[in-house]
This record gives sequence, C-alpha cells and structure tokens, in this order.
Amino acid sequence: MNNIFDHRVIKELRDLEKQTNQNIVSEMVTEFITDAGRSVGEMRTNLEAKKYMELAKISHTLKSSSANIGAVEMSKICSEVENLIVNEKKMDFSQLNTLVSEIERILPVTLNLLKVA
Amino acid sequence: MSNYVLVVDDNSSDLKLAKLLIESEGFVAILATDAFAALEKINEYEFKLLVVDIQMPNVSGLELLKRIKKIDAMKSVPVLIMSGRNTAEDIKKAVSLGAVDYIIKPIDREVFLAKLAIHLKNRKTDWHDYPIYGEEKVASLQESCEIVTFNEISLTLKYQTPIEIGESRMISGKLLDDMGIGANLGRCFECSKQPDGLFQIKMSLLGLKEEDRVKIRQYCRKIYSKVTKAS
Repeated sequence: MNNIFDHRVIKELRDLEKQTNQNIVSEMVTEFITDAGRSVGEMRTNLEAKKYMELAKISHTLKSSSANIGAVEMSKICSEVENLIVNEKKMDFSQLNTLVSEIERILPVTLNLLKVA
Repeated sequence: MSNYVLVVDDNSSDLKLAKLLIESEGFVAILATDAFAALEKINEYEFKLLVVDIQMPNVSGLELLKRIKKIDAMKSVPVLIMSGRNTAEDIKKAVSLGAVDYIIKPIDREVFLAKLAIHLKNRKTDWHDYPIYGEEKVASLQESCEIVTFNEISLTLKYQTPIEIGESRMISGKLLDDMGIGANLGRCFECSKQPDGLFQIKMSLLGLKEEDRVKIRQYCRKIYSKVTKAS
C-alpha cells in the first residue's frame, strides 16, 4: 500500500467477485476512471462560484466512490472538504482551496495507479 | 423465504460494492437508485432485508424508511441504514423510524458483511423455496448434468441445459443438499459459462470430511450409472 492507493482493496474485491461470477469490479473501476475527472472539475467550478453545498455534495459522493476502489488519499481529502463545509462553524476558504488543489494534484496519479491495479 | 436483498442508493459505486458483498454471501441483490424505484421493487419482490442510503435526491432514505414501515408486508423486514453522516442524532433518528442498524460510509467491507450476517440471522439460501428455480426445474437440471472431473481436489459438473449466471449458486447449493452434505458448503465452487452456452460448476473438495467425500462419491456414481445406462 502507498499513501495514495491501496492495492489490497481491488485484490480483495476481485477475490469476492470470483464467488459471484460477475464483472462488477471492472465496472466500478471504469466508472471511477470516467467520472472522477468530471467530479474534480465540478469541485473547482463550485468552489470558484462559492456554491459550497454543491461542493460538499460532490465531495461526499467522491469520498465513497474513491474509498470503494482503494483510492484512500482522495477519499480522505474529500472527507476533509465535506467536513470543512458541513461541520465547521467558520469555514476556512484558504484551506478549502488547498484541499481542492491537492485533489487535483493526486487525481492523475490515482488514475494511473488504478489503471495498472 | 426469499433470498432477495434490496439496496437503495444513488451512488452507483456503493450500489455495485453492496451487490458484490451481498451476492458473495449467496443472496440476490436487487438495486434501486431512488425511493420511487425502491417502492416499485418492493411491490415486485419479497425481500429479506433492505439496505437504504440516507442522502438521496428528491426523497431521502429516512423518508423512504417511514413510507416502507407503513406497508403491512414490510413491517417485519429489517432495514439497514447507510450514510456518510454518523452523528448520534442521525443514528437515533434512523432507529426511531424503525431501522435495525446503521452502516457508516464509505462502506467497510468487513463491517458490511458482519451486519448482513447478523440481520439475515446467518440464514443462507433456502434452496427449496427459490422462486425462479422451483423443485421441478432444479430436478431436471440435476438430471442433465455430467461429471467432467472428480478427484481429491475438486468436482466439476457440466450442465446440458443452459443456466443463467447468478442462478448457478442456487443450483450448486441444491446439488450439495442432494448429496446430503448440506448447503453450508455453497461457497465451495467456481462456475463458468462455457463457449457453447452451457454451464460448468466446479466445487473445491479441499478440507472436506471423509464422510462428505463418501456422499459425493455416491452421488457421482449415481450420475455415472445414469450416463452409462443411457449410452
């Protein structure tokens, strides 16, 4: 396991998949590769448009989708974005911008690791 | 008793993961992406358990839970709530509306499987009451199988009648039941659709007790004698 991607997750899912005779893991991976870029783009757009609740919703969805396929760092940062908006009484905008930038930075690395997983 | 578990979630990745986990335990997952689709499925199937996400567009999971609990046939069906929000208030609200448990997202696979086991009371597939493959159809499939390999490691059977993916576990479980070694070994197999559309089921025999091996040998002899008599 590295800090960005936990390969054990995909391996465990594939082991489970053998018991069901379905192609669910590949579908999950393909869907993530297709959707994650768009979601991260929308995070930036909503941040700039100050639509924070929209940003929180996208972070919420991406938090789960990324954790499900082993993209642990992305899930962790999405969770921080969501918490910062939903739970903090006083929002730290600069911190929010830093977190979204960090997601943008790790996205291509995550996708590359996922493609070879 | 049905084998269906309904999962309601607007997140496609969570739906797929839940399906994978549920079906790896021998149940059949029926998926719905919103409350309206869920209510349609409830009319269509008899469910053993419901897994419902809270945050969904239009009608929330909690609102859906309220509506479900007003349906007489659903009052005794356990509902597990899933959510990325895990405050004491959220959990209390879900429980007060009739949820039996709460799963925090992102889904932890071990926790999900453990809670499934608890709320399904560890009951595996009830082979005799499977709504698609009734006794008659299963019996005719049993008649149409032939032995591909049988050794210390595995038993492989090929069916001369096509079987749909997803139903093979039911057949395999019934097969083990017929052998007299119980359906609890329903996970000990691999199944694959062959290029000719027929189905092959492979069961691992590793770790089996000698008495169970004897029962399998007897079963295989029965199939073998049927094949030789026919030829």
